[in-house]
Amino acid sequence: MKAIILSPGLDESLLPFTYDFPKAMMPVVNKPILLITLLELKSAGIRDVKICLHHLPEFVDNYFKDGSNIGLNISYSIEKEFRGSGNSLFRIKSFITDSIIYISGECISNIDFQNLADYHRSHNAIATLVTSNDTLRELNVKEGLLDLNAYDKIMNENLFYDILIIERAGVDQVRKEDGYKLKNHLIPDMLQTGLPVYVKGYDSYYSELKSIDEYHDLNMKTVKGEIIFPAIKLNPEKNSSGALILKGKNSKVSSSVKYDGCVIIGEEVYIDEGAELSNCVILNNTYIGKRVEIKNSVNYHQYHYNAEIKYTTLIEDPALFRTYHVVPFKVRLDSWLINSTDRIVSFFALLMLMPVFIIVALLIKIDSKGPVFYISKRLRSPEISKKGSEWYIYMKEKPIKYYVFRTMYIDSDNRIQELTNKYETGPFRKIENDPRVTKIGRILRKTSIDELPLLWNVLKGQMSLVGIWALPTYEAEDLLHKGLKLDEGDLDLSEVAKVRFRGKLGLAGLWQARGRSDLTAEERALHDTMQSVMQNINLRDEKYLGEYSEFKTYKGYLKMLFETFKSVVLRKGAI
Amino acid sequence: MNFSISDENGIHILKVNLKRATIDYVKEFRELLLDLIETKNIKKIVIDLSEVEFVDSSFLGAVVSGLKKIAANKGDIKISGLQSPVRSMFEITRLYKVFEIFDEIEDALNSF
Repeated sequence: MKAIILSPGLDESLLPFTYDFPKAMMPVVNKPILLITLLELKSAGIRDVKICLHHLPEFVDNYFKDGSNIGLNISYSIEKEFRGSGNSLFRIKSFITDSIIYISGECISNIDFQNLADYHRSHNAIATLVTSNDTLRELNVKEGLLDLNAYDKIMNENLFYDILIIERAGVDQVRKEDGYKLKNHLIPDMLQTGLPVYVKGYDSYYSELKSIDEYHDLNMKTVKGEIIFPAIKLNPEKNSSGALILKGKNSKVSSSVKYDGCVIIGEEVYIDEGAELSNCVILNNTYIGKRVEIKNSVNYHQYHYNAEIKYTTLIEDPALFRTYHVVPFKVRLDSWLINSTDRIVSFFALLMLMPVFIIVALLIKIDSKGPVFYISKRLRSPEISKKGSEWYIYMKEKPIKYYVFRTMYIDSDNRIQELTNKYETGPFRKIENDPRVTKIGRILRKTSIDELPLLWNVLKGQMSLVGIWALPTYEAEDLLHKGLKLDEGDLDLSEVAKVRFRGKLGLAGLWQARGRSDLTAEERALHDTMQSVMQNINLRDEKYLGEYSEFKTYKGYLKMLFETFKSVVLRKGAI
Repeated sequence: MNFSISDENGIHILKVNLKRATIDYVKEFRELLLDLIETKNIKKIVIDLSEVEFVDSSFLGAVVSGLKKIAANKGDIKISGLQSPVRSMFEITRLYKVFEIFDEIEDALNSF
């Protein structure tokens, strides 16, 4: 038997904690929900697992990889859109050879899957559904062969678990329709045609974790041993006052911290002097400040949920709660080297270029009316954030003023709209023989000399030598809201483009090094996205992006600088 | 051959026979894809990347440009057989929200 775990990652019931990662990766007693489920499947003798993902798939993929470290053979189905459980199965039909156990990645239970599989097999069922024994008793339904009437009773109350076993013959009946669900559509279809569908009751724990309270409760009870997951071993430490403490990897707790009840401390957590912790969960990478008192709650970075007053708050005082990361020495060293190189190189480059700048300034003055420099307003380090379901650009500060050599006739910005109508322009769309460009401007652009004054911004520390090209504010907004769409029905790349806004700004980068304006708009967008990805990957995930991981290091930085320099000197297309 | 094309009941499978699909092969790939989409007016393409161990952003850019062209003709490009590092690239650049990705060719063909 193989297993299929469906985890589209769209469940928002544990927000705000799951803003940064999918719910399936929410740790229960310091272990992601999905890990617990996978270990249980392994105990039941299952080896092949397919995980169907949609939102933030990289968190799951990168954590479990091919599954070999937990003794499983895991593969993934990454879905472009989530269109119901039926569609998820239809997409991976060739994986399903005989029977499969299908589980939602966002539920947690300690049901004995081996027992369930045996029950299914011994009854020759085409599908076996699961619910609680209490439900069966209350609704007066007998465990065993299911009929439409009994199915309706349980289904109307939505009391079937998100766990079921189904035969390949059953999967063949899945219709390729949007929103086609297994429990809601396939099962009644099978019942109507008289196929043997069974229901099995359990007294085991099962929860879809629909609230943070439920989550908090589960954590406390598991540490106390009131709920047991046979597949995982817990060794909470018991202190002199009888408190149970579970501590994750790389966490630092000051010796003066006081405990009471059950306390779960995640990975890479730092708890400062004199803090008092009682019946609480502290999630990974959280710093808890000096003398902070935490009771009956779930805590993560700046979020605090109090189980007593049932309220999630955003902690306003960043000194007390903040993100905490153990940064390895190599990373700190690389970042120091990059920063120093930025300052030193830009300082000497500006010094050496001074004579060139003076000549260029004179030429601009002679060539056309107007100032030598053009002040370009570009976003500082734009951040994107999510408010409800809407993304927006979040600017910490005002745009920075960038001084570049003027290459256009004055009033060019006012004519951008006129041009947009005349030519196909937009983010990353460069116009050939742009009539706005002056004669000398054409040469400056071709040689990229016009952008050299940006070295001043590097010296000031506003940007790096290597990073993402700073887009003018209007282009950045366009990109974020429209992607690269020219008209309705055009390919929408806004999701891809958004990634770029997470990166550090810089002069040299992938697209400058690999073809510059010879590239299509899509190719440029992708290079920028990649650049941003490289800067943001966690070093612990070094192997995740293969050789791209290198670019985050000092070696990669130098390589990129050199590649861009070579490309500019060889003049492969202008910026 | 760096690339091979086969026809499966009107759906064209473009197989990339490279371990490293990078900028060095973009020109050849782009021409091949454009020939299918623009000259031959093909509307259903599956790009089989099962041999590929590394893909760079230039190559991905070329695939996206191809999708943009075919989408304008009301066609689609589906991706099949991603090895782990390549799949990571599709995930983290959010390209999985642009392309439909399958593990097996058979499933990709069925999806049209």
